[in-house]
Amino acid sequence: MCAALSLERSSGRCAAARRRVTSMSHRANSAHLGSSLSCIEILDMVYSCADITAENAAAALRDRVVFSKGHAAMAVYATLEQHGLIDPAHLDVYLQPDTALWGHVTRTPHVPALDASTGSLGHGLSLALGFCMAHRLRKRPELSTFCILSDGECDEGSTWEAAMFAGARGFDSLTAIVDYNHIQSLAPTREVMDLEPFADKWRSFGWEACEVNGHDAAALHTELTRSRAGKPRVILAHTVKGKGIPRIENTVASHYKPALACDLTEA
Amino acid sequence: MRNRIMELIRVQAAVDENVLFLTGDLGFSVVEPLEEALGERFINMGIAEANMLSASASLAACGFKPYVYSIAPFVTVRCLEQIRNDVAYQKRAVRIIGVGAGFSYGSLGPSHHSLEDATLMAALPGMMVFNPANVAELDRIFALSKDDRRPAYFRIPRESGSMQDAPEFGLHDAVYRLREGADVTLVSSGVSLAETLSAADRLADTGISAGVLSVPVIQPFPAAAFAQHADVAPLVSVFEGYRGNPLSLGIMETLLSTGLRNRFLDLCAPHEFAQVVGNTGALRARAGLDAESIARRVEAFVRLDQPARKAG
Repeated sequence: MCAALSLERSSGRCAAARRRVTSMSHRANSAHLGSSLSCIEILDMVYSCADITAENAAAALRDRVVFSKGHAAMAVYATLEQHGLIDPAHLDVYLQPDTALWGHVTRTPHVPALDASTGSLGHGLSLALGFCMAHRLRKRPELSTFCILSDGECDEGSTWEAAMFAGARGFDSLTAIVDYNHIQSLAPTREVMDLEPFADKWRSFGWEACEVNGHDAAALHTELTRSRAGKPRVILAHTVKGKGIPRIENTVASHYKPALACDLTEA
Repeated sequence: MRNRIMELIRVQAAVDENVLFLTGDLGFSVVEPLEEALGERFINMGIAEANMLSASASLAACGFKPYVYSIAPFVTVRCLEQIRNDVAYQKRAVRIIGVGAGFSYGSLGPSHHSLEDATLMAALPGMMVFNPANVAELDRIFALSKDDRRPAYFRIPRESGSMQDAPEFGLHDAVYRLREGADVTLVSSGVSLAETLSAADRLADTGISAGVLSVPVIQPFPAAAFAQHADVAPLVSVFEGYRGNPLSLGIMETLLSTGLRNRFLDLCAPHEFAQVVGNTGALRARAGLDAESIARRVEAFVRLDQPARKAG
C-alpha cells in the first residue's frame, strides 16, 4: 500500500532529515555521515510506500522494512522522525551515554517500527526474506517487505544466498533497494570488487532489476509501486555519497568524518 | 536421536501451527516423514546456512517457532555471526539443531567433528544449550522448551544414546544423579554419558566407587542444583569437546563461587584437529574419552588422594 506521492512533501521531509542527520553527526561526532546522506530519498520513499504506522508498528504481521546497511543509522532515525515513527527525543540525545539507540540501527521496544538490528553487512536481505516467508506462510501475500542494502555489502556471499533463494522461490513481495553510491569503506566499488554488470547479476538470480537516480523521489516511487510479476525486484539506486554537503560529496572520507559546524547550514 | 527429535517436532507441529522445520539440505533418511507431515512448513533452504539462520530469526519475529537443522559445525560455526546478531542479540526464538555432537561423524573427518560448538553457542548471551545424552533427556528438554521464547541450541548425537530414564528436571536445574558413589563423582553431559557410566562400572572393578551425574542443559549452567549434588568427593568433568567447554567451566565456577574445595579433573578432547583417520570409537579412545580411558584417568586421579589404597 502506498500513499499518493506528494513530491513537495517528500522533498520537505528529505531536507529536514538531511538537516537532522547533519546535526546528529556533528553533535555526536558520529561517523557514517556520507552513507546516511546518500539514502535519504530512498528511505523516505520506502517509508512512504510501506504501510507502517504508529498504530500498527508493534503488530507481528504488517509490511516490513529491513535496513541492512546499519551503519547509516542516522538516516533511518531521521526518516522515522519525519514519518512520525520515533520519539524525536531519542534523536536529540543520539549517542549520549545510557540512551537506547546505538550508532548502528537498533531494534528496541522504544521504536517498534524498526524491524531488525543491523550493523554487520550481509544479513539484511536474509532477514527480509524471512519476513516474506512468514507472510507467505500466514497467507498474507498482500504484505510487502523492503530491504535497503549498501553497494559494498553486495560483496558478502550471504547477500547472494538470500538473493538466490528469493529468486528461486519467486518472492515477489520482496523489494531490495541498493544505495549504489559507488564508494565503499576504503575505495570506489569498481576498484575494490566491481559489481558490474550489477543488474544482470540480479536478473540471473531470478530478479527483476531496474536502475534509477536514487535522489529522484518520483522515479523511486514509480519503481517501488510497480505491480508484482512473480519475481523479487531490485532497484539499483544510483546515489551520491554525502549528498547535500558539497565538501564531502563522493569522498571516501565522508564514511568516517563527522559533520562540521559549517555543514549545518549546507545540508 | 536424530529420528527422535524429528518425531518430537512432527508431533508438536501437529498441534502447533507455528512450528516450522528448516534444513540446510541435510537429513537424508531422517527428515522424510517430517517433510510429508509438515507440508509447506518444511522448508529446504539449500546449502546456505547463513541465509537460513537470518531468515529463521525473522520467521520467529512473526511468531513462528523455527527448528533449524544441519550437521553441527555447519549450523553453528559456519553461521556464527548470523546466530549472534540476528538470533541471540535480537532474542529470536529460533531452535538450532546441530547433529553430530563431538566425534559422532568419526571418519568423515575434522570438518564434520563438533568439539567447539557448545562453547561457541554458550558464549552468546541469552542462548540456551541443550546437550541431551539419550532419548529420555531429549524428550524432557523438548517438552520444557517447546513454548519458550528464548533462542536455543540442541546438540544432538548421531547415536541413539543409552536408554536411561531421566527424572523431572527443569531447564534451570537440569542436573541429576544416575549413580551413587563415595570416592569420586563423574559429571557428564551428552554423548559422553554412556562412556562415563561404563567407566564407572570399570572403576567399581578396581575398588573405586564412582558416582555419576548428568547435566543435560549446560547453558545456563544449573549452578545451584549442581552445588547441592556436589558432596566432598573429587569431581571429574567428562565432555566431548575442547577445554573451556560449558560443563567444565560451569563446574569450576560453581566450586570457586560457593567455596567448595573438591579436587577437580577436567576430561575433554585434546585441543587439536584429529590428524589421522579413525571411527568414532577410535577417536574417542585417542582423545581419552572412551570408557577405558576415562576409567584409567579417573583412577590415577583418585589414587593421588588415596595413597594407602594405591599401596594396597
